[in-house]
Amino acid sequence: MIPLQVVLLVLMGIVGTTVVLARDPLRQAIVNSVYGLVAVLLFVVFQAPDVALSELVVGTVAMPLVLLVAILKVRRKGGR
Amino acid sequence: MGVALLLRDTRDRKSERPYDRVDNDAVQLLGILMVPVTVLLGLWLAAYGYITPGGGFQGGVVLAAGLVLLWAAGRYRAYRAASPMELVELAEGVGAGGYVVVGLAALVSGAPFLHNLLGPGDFGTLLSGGSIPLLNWAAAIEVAAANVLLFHEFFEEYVLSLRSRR
Repeated sequence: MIPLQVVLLVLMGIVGTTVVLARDPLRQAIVNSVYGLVAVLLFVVFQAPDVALSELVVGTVAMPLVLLVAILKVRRKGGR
Repeated sequence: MGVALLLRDTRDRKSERPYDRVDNDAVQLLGILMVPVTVLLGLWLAAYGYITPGGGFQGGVVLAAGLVLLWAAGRYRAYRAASPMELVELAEGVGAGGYVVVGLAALVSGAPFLHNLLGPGDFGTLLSGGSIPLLNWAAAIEVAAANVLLFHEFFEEYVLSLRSRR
């Protein structure tokens, strides 16, 4: 196992914990996309570029978009 | 409650779509510049998916993201004009159907489902996959259309809430 893999695995754990500890859904959505980015790097380092690309498009495009709109909608309902 | 959710008035009326615009010039310029780049990247990922990393799924999602950028950096009306629902629904059907047709074509000619009828082609070129390119493009069209449909449903909720707030 090369050092970069170890660093990324540790980083993955740290960012994952941060996602759980961020209690505000909006903040959580943003931290979650950072988590996705670290996952992409991890997949690249472990030589799975195909999986990395999938994670990249889903983690940075599809998920935050859907999450953000859903959070906005819920907030607006709750505010009234 | 489910029935009420399905039956309530959420139909999109063209004349009632909001006129929104991005006030930040930098976001607007960068976003609009990114649209053709993103669409090209999506097409490239789908076209070369079986030679380099990538594939129909990734290409499809990136294509859909290029469309959504039109709204994120431009206007909702531009985004909707670029993705007419009839076309997107048609594309979704064609994508899913195309995959099955390629599979059944092999079945009809006596080979197993999805068997390659087109021969192996030249190694490392665009024509090296036999029927894989066809399946790849079918998947790309299907995924892009499905993602646009999905985003559309979510955005419509948001846009409708904009309208009712006024």
